[in-house]
Amino acid sequence: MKEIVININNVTKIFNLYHSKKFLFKSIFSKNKYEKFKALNQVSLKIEKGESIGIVGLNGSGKTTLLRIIAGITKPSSGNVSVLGKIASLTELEAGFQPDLSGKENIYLNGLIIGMTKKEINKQYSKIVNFAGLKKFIDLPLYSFSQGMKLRLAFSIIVNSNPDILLIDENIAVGDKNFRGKCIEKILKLTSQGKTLIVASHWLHFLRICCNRVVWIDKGKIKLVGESKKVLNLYNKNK
Amino acid sequence: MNNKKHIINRQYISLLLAMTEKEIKSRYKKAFFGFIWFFLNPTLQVIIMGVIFSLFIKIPNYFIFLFSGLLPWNFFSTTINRATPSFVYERSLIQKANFPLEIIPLSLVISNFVHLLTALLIFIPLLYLTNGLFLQNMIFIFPALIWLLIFTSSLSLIFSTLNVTYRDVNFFVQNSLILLFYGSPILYETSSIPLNLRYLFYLNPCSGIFELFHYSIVKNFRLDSGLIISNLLLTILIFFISILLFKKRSKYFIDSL
Repeated sequence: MKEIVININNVTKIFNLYHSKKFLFKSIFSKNKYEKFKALNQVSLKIEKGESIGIVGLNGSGKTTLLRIIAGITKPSSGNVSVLGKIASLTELEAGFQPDLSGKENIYLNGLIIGMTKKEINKQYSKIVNFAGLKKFIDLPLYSFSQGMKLRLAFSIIVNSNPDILLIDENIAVGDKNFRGKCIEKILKLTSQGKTLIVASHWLHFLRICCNRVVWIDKGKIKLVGESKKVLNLYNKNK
Repeated sequence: MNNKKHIINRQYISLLLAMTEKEIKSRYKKAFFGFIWFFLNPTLQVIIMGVIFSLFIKIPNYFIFLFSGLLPWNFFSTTINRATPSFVYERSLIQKANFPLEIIPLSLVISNFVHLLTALLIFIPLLYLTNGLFLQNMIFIFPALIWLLIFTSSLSLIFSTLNVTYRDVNFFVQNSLILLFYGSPILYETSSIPLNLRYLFYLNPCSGIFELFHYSIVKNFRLDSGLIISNLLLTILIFFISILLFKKRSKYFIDSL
């Protein structure tokens, strides 16, 4: 049996949804009304090393919350998650970019934020620049970059950060058609190198070609887990 | 295990430094005169306040006295004002990756602290040339700076944490800072306040900090040791509260952002 890299054990995540914004002075005198909302309800899932997992479900079914819990960005209300290896997530691609700094300075800043060491960034630097195709522009301040250039740079930093586990939320491919192909190629290459991949998406065609297992989440619960073709066909019919 | 911890710490420090550097750089890349403004601003402030308040407050070398209070105050108020909404502003960054979140307000504190140190390094020799500077107690500027740094970091952490859940904290802080400016011995000294009111300063840790700054470069300044001790104890208390509060709340930041 292969090594289990992600073990999600009976995870429940409850959000307190407040009817109005919370204010300090109001809270001292009166309790704010809120409703509890179970974004995830007793979810358990074991993911082995090298697996490609797709997550499908309607909007608001808990896909993003599950990814965030795996990434450690938020903590579950109950249950636990253990993760082996370095995680990188392809979400909020442009966050942390500083328009006044150059492309190069931004690579270092962003790399450190997603958990790379300075040494690793030095080593990967030319790969990041080449993959993004921004060699000519890398010393220019980021505000002179186009939207597509920024997205390419952000994508390139993350996929070249040597993650063991790659999380993808929605935006599988960015930029023009040419770069989109490159992105998908890179993602497939990472999976063939034995990296673990978790993709939450509505793009079923992509999930069909690149995932070996698909998890269907419905209203915070896992409805079905299994081989991608089977789950996707059922999902397509019953969603 | 030990080795791993070492790497984590180095990673932490390089991230903190990179975020601080970003703050400093983006401030000066935006405006060519950014650096000049940083000196012009306190100079004008001291001149205007010095002219007006020297009519009521009789302190020898009042302009030097003001400098030793206004420079640290500017650091304190700018930092708190910018740090308080920092988690809310960096919402998308917090959603992006799992990194030590306290780096967001701390990098603001440190970058502003670098500005303060630069300002002191330039103003102190300049003031020395005007002959009004008292050098004998100069060594006390170091504990004053460290105290200021710790106090500002703790308050920044508390307010930025609370601001995630309660968005009115930002307004509360902005208004309190104006009150605090007049409620702290920046324009005046506590020894000129009637005794029965003076004990109020024992509850305001800013008083000890600013008195210590005055003491370090103003001649014949009397320091109230009771004030320093009670303020120090309060600072230590606030420091621990900030850490406990942050540790408890930061896990669920993303759910309220």
